[in-house]
Amino acid sequence: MSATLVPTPDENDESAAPLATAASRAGDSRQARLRLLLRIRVWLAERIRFSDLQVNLIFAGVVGLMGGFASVAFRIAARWFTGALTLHWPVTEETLAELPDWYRLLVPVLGALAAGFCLWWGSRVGRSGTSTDYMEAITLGDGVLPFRYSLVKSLSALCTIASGGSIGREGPVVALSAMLASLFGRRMHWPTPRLRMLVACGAAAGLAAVQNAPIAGAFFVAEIILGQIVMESFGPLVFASVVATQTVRNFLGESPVYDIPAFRLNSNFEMVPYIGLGLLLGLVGAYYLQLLRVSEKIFARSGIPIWARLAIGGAVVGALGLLSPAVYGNGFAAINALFHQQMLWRGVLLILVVKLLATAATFGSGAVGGVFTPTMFVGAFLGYFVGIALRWLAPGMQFDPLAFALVGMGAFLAAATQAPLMSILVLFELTRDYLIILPLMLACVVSYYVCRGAAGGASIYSESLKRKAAREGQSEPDWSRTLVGDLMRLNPPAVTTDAGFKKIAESFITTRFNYLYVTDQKQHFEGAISLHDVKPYLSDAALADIIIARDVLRDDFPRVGPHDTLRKALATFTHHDGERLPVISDDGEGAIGAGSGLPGDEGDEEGEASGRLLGSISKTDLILAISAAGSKTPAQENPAAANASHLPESGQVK
Amino acid sequence: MSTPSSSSSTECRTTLVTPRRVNLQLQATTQADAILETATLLAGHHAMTSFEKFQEDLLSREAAGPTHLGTCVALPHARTAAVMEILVAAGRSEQGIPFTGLKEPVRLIFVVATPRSAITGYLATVGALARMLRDTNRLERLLHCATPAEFAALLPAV
Repeated sequence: MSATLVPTPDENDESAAPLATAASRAGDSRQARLRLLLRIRVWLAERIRFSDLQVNLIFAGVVGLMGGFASVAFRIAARWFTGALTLHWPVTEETLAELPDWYRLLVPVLGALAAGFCLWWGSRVGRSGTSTDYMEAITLGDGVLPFRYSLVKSLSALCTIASGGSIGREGPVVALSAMLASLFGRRMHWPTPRLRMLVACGAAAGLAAVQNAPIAGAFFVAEIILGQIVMESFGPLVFASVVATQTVRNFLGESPVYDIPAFRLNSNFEMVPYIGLGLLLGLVGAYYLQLLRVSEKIFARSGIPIWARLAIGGAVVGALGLLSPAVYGNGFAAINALFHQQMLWRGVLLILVVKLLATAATFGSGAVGGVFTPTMFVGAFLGYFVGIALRWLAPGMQFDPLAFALVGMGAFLAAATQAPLMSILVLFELTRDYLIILPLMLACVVSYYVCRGAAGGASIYSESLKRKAAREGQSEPDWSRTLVGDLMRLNPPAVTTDAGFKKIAESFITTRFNYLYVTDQKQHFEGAISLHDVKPYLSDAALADIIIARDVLRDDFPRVGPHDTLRKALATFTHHDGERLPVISDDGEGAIGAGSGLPGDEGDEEGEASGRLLGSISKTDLILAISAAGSKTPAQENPAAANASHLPESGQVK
Repeated sequence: MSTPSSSSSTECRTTLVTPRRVNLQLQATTQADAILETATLLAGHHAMTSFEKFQEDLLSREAAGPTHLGTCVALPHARTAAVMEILVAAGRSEQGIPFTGLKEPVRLIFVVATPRSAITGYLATVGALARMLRDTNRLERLLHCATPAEFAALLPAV
């Protein structure tokens, strides 16, 4: 074919012949490259139909990577800090327990003082108007987590955890990972629903990385924070969790966090005591939530500075540590010890009581950290205690306290978090043993319902959100009033009406969208070119110079205005197979034929306004926003409870 | 990727130009007049709902960008609400007509009218015409044939 997509020099000009030949070769090469790229582009468009959904997965993977690195960095930093505080190296799980008594008392106080100073200093120099709570950022806020203050809070958590505070490291790692995701999303200028989804991915990655449990990470966010499982958000959560877990395993090995023995079910009759275990733990779960709440209130009403509150909390932990070193830290070591040592009921009861008190003291004092692991700790020891009691009551039944400890962990977690599905999966993932599933499912569901009835639907996480929703009621977005303009993305790919076929082809190659918007020189929207319409002809050299964008645009292309509701946008999407819709100014500017240059334009006949192209709205963003509106926040579920509590923010990251 | 001509030829073959839509003796001497004179061949066609509107759209499109092929051939075209099916008319000028941006005078004019909804058909028709008119042998025969019937016979169906 002699014609090219690139205009050739005048063939009649003989003096320009050598130049023309060289230019023609270069043009042929460019044309061939363009055709190849077009073929690939059309092939992909027809088979994969790329949309924001696939793109979200890629970015979720990046966030997962960041979450994994954040977890590894936090673990290493905590170990170094423990070494510096205790003057011991290498640091092991028993380092604190091996210190002299006076020093064991002192270390948690020193760490708590440092943690308190961090929070005090951070609140003076780095506090912004934006919340630092990742749960609030995902469910109530705009997905924005301040970088500096979040780092300060993570540093505070590091001090508490490294000095033996009875709190989990999953909280700060989850918060750190979520903050990095927020930062990443803001750099990408993502709209609020997508930014919130990215922060949710960060949270999932953080938990997956700490617990070495990707299923738990994904379900933790889906069930507890988002309150729903829709593939628009669940897919990225899974992706981020898996990448985070693999990243951590690359550095720290593949062994599970807990070295758990094989589960045994001696007879089907054992299902009955497991139901009883669920009943008991559901009830205790309600009191556990109350204990944490009362502890918080006592510290909050004391009126003393945050650093002093944390120091008191640290002193309580130090003192309780003299009775039993198991209170130190998140409890990983103590739970592992439980699974591999024969313990008597007195020892179990002592550890249980001191751990509960230590957790209440640390948590209540306002220390930054997680209660996920301490809650599993309490569940494991409670279950073990019940197992010992049953074995004593019915020695012939050969009840295994370890099996009750395992099921107890899950059941107590289900009660306290009000997330039975996540709890079942966490335990399944930790034990990697299918035999545990049946009793675990029963106990988790029973404890969930019992605790829900006894505690009025509260959970260790809902409390935080309720308070914040009550205190910052205005920050809770009313999604029914969210407009298209709030979700709009600026600068969508577009060409002008006089753009040639070559320009159109290049635009389709450089963007992943199947519709290319067309505007006039004054940015008035004229319609869109469908890749489907033009794909057989995009590389047709014969059309390169005589077809322009206005020849092939669809001027009846659906559109929305910035002041349209999300409901209207959704209705428009139901009649449109594209991933995006153009957002057109509805101020009347440019209406009816202005600048269109198309006297025969059908839109003019129908009186359709043709305003300026302001941006585009993505179907994925819209569904994420509407999904968020569909999942009620705890405050929305129980406004009375939300208004009842007016505690000052403690800076906790759970 | 299949070539447009092969895919369209297997789906529906229609006569591109009938002898009634061919004028071998255009009288116009300017670009706009020559285009309108050729377009007049479509006036009164049952698929033409408003000839005035079609003329407006045709000239509007011509003003937006060149439609000549760089040789002595031009393909003025418009997607318009004034027609209900794709229509093509052809005109030949003995003396040639000066076109904007073209050194050589235009001697063959093919006017293409397409309904607004027929984007693919539009591209297929204009593409098929553009490709066949780049064939110098066929072009020579079109420039020298004696009757509209001979002219129409030189244009294969699409």
